[in-house]
Amino acid sequence: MPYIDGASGTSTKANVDANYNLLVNTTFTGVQAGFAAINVQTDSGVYTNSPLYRKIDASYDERTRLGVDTPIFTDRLAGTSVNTALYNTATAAMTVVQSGGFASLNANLNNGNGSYATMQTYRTFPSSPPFGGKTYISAQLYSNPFTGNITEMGFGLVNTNGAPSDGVFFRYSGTTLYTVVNNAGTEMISGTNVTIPSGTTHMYEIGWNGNMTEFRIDSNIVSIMSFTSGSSVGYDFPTAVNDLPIFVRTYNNASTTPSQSLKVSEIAVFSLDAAINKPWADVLAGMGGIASQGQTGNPMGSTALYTNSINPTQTFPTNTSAVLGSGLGGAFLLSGTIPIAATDYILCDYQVPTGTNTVPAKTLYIHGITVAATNLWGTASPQVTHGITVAYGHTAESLATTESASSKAPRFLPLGTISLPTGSAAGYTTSPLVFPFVAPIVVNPTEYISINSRFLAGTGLPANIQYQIGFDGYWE
Amino acid sequence: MAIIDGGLSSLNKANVDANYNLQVRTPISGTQAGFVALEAEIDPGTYNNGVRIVQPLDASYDSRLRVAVDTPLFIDRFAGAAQNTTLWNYANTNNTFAQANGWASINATALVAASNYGLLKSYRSFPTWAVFGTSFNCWMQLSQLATTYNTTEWGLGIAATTAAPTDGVFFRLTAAGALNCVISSISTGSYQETYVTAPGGAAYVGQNITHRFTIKCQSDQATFYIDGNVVAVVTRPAAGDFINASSELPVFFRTYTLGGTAAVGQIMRISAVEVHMQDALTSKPWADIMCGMGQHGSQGQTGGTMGSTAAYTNSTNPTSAAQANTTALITGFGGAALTTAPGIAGGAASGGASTDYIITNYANAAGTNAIPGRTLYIHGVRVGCVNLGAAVTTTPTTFTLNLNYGMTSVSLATTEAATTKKPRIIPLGTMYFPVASVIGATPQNGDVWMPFAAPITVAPGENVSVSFRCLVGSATASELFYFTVGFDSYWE
Repeated sequence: MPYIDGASGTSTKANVDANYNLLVNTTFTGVQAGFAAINVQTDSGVYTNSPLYRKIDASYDERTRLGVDTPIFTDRLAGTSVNTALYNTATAAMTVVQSGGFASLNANLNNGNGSYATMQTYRTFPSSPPFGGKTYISAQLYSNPFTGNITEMGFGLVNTNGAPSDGVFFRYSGTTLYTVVNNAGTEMISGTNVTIPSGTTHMYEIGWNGNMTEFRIDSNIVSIMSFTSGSSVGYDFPTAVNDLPIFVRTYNNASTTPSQSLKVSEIAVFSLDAAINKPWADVLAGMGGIASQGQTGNPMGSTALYTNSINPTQTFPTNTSAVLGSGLGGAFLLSGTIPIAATDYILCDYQVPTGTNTVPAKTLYIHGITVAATNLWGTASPQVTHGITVAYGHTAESLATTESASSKAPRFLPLGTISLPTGSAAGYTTSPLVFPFVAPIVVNPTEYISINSRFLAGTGLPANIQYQIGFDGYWE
Repeated sequence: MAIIDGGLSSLNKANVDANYNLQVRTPISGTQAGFVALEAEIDPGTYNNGVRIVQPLDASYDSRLRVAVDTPLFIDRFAGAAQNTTLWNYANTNNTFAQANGWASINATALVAASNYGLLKSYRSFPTWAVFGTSFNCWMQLSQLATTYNTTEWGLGIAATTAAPTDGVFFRLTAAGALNCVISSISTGSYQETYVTAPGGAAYVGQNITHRFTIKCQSDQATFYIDGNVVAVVTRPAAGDFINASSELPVFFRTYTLGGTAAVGQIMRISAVEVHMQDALTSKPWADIMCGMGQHGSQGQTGGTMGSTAAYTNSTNPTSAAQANTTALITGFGGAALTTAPGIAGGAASGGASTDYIITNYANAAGTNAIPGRTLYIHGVRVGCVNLGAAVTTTPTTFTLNLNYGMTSVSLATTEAATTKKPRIIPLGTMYFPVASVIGATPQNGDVWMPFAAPITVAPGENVSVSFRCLVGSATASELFYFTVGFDSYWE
């Protein structure tokens, strides 16, 4: 065997270092520089026994092609109840329980034939070529896979314990993990030799572009299923439709021993490659993070104080508490005599929930506020003029809260004025006061935001006014 | 035995440069070029028991190199001499907080008594979401290597008083001098910690030496760095759901003494904190980023006065003042202002002067070494007005409104010179009160609202104001107008 035996420090000979590496250097003269093609190892071959490399591409105009990921959906299953804004659950004999960072399907370990638990997202996700996408589901099995139970997770259309009608997903059936592409009910199935131990959490990943679907566990490829135009499988795209929800489910097709439970801790979907420049507010709203609805760990439904077919309670507001009610906007009803004092009265008030280890402490971004007032007193209504402000950041409900090392006073921002003119009839409504914010008002956990009025006219006169208050905002 | 022994410029032999490197060259024909697979060295392992961490780069299905971009969520330096109470909450028993010379100091007077604590935590929390990461960074020093009965913690987490945190990912310096890198979980039903002790412990942190501490959080592991060197990688327990319980955590710094009196007082000194969202292209607008850091224009900034920048006091009407061209009715970034009687003479059409009167003026503080000289970006302004004087039965009242900015003093008569700037004026619109407008009347044509896609910027040392000119009106003693001014804005 020829070898190079120049030792370290031997002049005019190629040297080797203490680790027997030949010392080499490329040219310092640019025009003499040679090429090297760039490759990346996208998979080390843990499950496939063969590393997979992909080349890096350049555009026709010699630009390196880069791919950036845009989050489409991300959710951690925190708290003690399913976020019903995001997920629909259907069960028969099995239960779905959320705690300790997991949503557990078949938490009650039912082992009867025909029982099922399915959880799927209300929203669907696009899988449009040519740009790819990727979904991540972090999950663990209670038991090692066994005959009589089928457990699936991925994209798809499923109902109860029936066969999927479209989708791409993992499937545990019997003792085997399969990867499945289902196009309008026709399935292409690939068995794997992967064994995932029960009781341990793993990240199941499904990536796709126009003609292939890639399945990974903990970043390691377990299967790639390809489709090309005119392929023998009879279709040239993995699924029949290009907008599918994420689903996870477990069901029994026989009475089983032991029992299976699927525990899911996080779900995420990303758009790959393209700089889609989706505005951050749109990204978060697409994840269910619109300000008008409750978030994981908090009461579900509207954050606004607005109850179907029920009028708000009427009273006269105060400066220190939200007696008209609490909500991020809604309907608020003032009743009483307009006072003389130069007081700021809280019409609408909302506290951003405090975080705990089961309630994620989200931050509220407000990009716009609208306020309108309707005279409900009658045609003899007095002239009532409001100076409307938004106050935010205060750590107690009262607008008199002071600033200290551990408390915050409200930050006031005048929004404008609205007035009910003399003689306005019952039902007269002001033009809506609309204040959009390019620079959003940001309200941290435990802090309050309120809409307030200082009455500039109408002193001493009785009034009955309903305020309609709305917010344009998102949760981060 | 083949020997490559060509020296410099030896013909027909492979040459060796002066540093004994064999001179090599890859093919100049692109089609002959072989592949090189790319990998990134995350850390050489110098401070992590020699464990080198490398990460292969990835390509998408369509051969695009996958790249990661970071989005800043929070950046703060502790300038000035006062706590920024917009951003930070400080709770304590005896251990005092002090801020000076760029440092926020917890337990500033080095108290040692049992059960003392000082806890600085951010009001806002930061997402630790699935799949893409969150990076916490702080620049900090400790006055002691370690001291008996004292525990010092910093990172992301939920903590109160001297009790154990209930969630988090953080550094902990124990009384015994161990530097533990901690993650947590409630997946088993109760709070549990998993940690790795960093090599070197307190000795690596040292005394009164500033280090950059970094924690990079991902769903299945947290990587702890000091000065860019990995000191520990803590992996989620196999059955755990994530490296911590909540998907939102505040920043916290805490030092406390429990179980006895500390031998010496531990002082935490923090000079800066940053939190970034990693990897994903968020396209988060810059205004949202700035406001997420507490930099909405409506509140005071580090080194300035905390609370509202608007001249608006809870349940207190503004004092009426004489309107003028050189001074403002109110000093504040918007707020509520009240003109004074006698009334405002109209312009030429009403036989009066055409004076521009300043409703509200705000001086953007000039920067010093204790007050960061921030720039104010204004994306919109809204002006409301209410007639609080007696109805005028003979003459309508018409105001034009302007936004003035850039001037180096309050006066609208400020001139342009090498060291001064006169106001740049943007007409905002016109308000109209018809004859016999009653007390409480608002402009017949509503408030004036002007959004700016191209923001107005106000540099440190400059002023911004809103002014009015009365085009038509009567100088009646009973004339009185209440203005409200609000801005859509942020600090940078």
